[in-house]
Amino acid sequence: MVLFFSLISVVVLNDQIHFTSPPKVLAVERRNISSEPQLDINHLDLYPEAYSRYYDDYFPYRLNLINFYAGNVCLKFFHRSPYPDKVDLGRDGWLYFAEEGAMYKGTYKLEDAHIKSIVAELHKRALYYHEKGIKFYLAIPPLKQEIYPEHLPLKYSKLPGLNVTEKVIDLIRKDPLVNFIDLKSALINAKKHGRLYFKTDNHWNSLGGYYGYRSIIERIKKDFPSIIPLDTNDFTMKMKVINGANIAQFINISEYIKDESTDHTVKVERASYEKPKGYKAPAALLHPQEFEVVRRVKNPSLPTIVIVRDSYFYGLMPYIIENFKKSITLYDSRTYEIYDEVTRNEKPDLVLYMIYEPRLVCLIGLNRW
Amino acid sequence: MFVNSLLFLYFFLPFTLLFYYFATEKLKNIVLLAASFIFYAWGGVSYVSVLILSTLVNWLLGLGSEKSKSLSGKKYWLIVAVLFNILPLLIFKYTGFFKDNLNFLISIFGMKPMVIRTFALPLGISFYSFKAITYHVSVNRKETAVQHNYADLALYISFFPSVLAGPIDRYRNFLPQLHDRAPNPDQFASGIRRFSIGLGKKVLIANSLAVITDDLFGGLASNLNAPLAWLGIICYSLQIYYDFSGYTDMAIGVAKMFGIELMENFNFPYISKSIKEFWTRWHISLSTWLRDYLFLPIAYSTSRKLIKERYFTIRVDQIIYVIATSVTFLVCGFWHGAAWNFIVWGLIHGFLLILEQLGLGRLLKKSFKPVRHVYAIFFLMISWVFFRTETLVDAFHYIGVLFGFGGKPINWQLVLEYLNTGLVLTLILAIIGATTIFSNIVDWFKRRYEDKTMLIRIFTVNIYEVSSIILVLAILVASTLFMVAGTNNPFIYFKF
Repeated sequence: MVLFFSLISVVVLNDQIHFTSPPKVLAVERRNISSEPQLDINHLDLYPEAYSRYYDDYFPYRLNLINFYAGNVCLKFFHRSPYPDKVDLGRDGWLYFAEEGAMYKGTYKLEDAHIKSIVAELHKRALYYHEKGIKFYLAIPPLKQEIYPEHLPLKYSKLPGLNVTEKVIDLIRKDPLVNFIDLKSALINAKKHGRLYFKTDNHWNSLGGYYGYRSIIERIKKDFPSIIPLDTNDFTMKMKVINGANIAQFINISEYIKDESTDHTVKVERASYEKPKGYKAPAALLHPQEFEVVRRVKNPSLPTIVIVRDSYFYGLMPYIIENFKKSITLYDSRTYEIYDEVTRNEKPDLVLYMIYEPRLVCLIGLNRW
Repeated sequence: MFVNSLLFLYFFLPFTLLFYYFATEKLKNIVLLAASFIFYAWGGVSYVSVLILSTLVNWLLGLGSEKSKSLSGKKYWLIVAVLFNILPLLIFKYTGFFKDNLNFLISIFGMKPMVIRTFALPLGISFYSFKAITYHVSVNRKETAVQHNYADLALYISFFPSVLAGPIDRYRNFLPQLHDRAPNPDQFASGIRRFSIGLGKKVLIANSLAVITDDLFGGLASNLNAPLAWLGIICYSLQIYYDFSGYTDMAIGVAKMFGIELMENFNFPYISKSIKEFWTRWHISLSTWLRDYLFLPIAYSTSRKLIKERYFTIRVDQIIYVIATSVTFLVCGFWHGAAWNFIVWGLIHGFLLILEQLGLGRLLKKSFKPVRHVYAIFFLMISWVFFRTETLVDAFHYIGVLFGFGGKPINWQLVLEYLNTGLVLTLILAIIGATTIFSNIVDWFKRRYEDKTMLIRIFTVNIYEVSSIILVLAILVASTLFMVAGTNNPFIYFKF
């Protein structure tokens, strides 16, 4: 009885005098710590949940306990994912987002009308640029599951038929205005050169980015022959061991699992930053400071490119910016809009839309973050 | 609020205990009632008005029945009281079911579906409605007097440890404890122990097994094969037991801390050797409720109507048993959920009970003990499929896969992938814990040293006590860890 009350008292006392470190929420929760809700007689139904959330947030040592549970209890002792609905533990230390798995397996379904709407949205962009004499390229960085299915848990099995992405690509290939660049085939072919994706992150690594770049730039070069693609002799590669990356961080096991990162440095960097023009950014940006990034290479024979992109661009950024006189990259709220003001002012020779596979649905406003 | 939440364990419970033990004798029940309403309100403030209204009307109906002098008058009041408790249950719980089935039927005739409003189900309504009925039946059968004190009746119906998921305690058991209870340290310590074990059962075992169950039952279409289907149903059979009996243990434990003894609800159901025995060990408060308030009245009224000794060469007592069992288990299935799956689940149990009554039981008694266990466990697991799946089609598909029909080819590597260290340990613990092995060891331990010298007895008792305290604390700490981890909801910014 004494021990029981001692245990409870520690928590109860902490509620009153907060002797533990100030409470905070994990970065991956992407929210502010709850504040104590006020009792509002008109909205009584909301109070219990709000208070429970507030109480849970202020539980002593919450973050330490969560980390201990995820790393020591689940990963090390039980060898299972602490949040199996969020992350799947693959084989050989590979991690996969479970929700992305639904896209890969084909259990995430869309009606044909939605598929056609996505294709129509892409066509709308292609037509807009076509009418202005600008070449439109589309690259879809594939899911890690598509490139490295051999590390997936065995329970993953693709449903028969095409998944959402495959259906979209099937239709978009038939659109003459869209220059579709097949990154998936290129990356599968490049697997023999080394690991292309992080084990503990859903992004490709620098090497994956490089082969993605090669695939893109070789396609663009057909239309702009002045471009000289970089090859492996043009950069140095340095391997380092890092703590678990974004998927590991997501389930609080970052410090319990290691990964490798390859830093690629272009030997002769010609691209330099230029002050952005300050184009009007859409609302609710995740990374407002990165909405518009401009780089320039002093070579007038090269074309100008506008890249509407997401986080997968980081992997190929060091290479691609070297191939254009001016590159304007726009990182929006994953809506991959048409930026008319940018087009009118910059008059690019080409645009590249890089849309990470699961975010194709964002084009029609489905389940945006 | 759930008893397996941080807020309950580290805030609600200690403060309720504090207020309770500092309150005067007269105020203790008021403290408990207020706590019960707050506890219930945490699951939906709007619905606490339904609970308060229910307790109030039940109290008034009881007073009304007292005013009636004649037997028929009292019977009338009882019928009104039963209807009053059943109707909200029908409206809240079953409107959607009846609407869907009605619309299905009329769609066959090409008619447009009817628009009928459905309601969110107030938590625990199936439990507190049945408790209210026991009060009225108790009064009608003169087992207890009418309760004049509203707070006392309201406390019985809405007592917070048992309001959400039982046990469905009998009014006649609860009544003496309303004003005559003297909690003692032993009872309190036993309450802590019981609560902690229940918390561990729910948080550490049931929730861990639920992950596998959800995966295997959720992935019906993808990679289910026979061994995985068996793994899924084994996990689910254990999950449902640990979930429900864990909750019951917590309810009984908390009640003990306030000096109240609730009725037992589980008694190692998976050691049963027949379905009949299973129902004496599983959800005992419900099975005895159904026996006392449904089965026996039906059997009694049927027996009065069937006057011959045999009908079509079948003995009349067997006919009565068939009718009463069928109706009782139809209701039992429907009570568990408003879906055909639950009805089929209830009917399977009813059917097996009838078979056992008509001869299978006698055959089983002559059989080798393990065969009887296998029989019971096998049919229990098959019936749980209906309980877990969402549609009858899914249930039949799953059962087909269990026996090698319609599943994917067997992949043992895949099975081994599921059977990671965590699951294997959990399963071993869960299977052993579902038997009497642990309690037999404790009993043996106590018996072994019973006739030893005082010194050895004291020494061994201390070992037992200390290990039990350490175990309870370890369970509490581990459960807290799991509960805290449950408050983390990582937000994947590109939600599909």
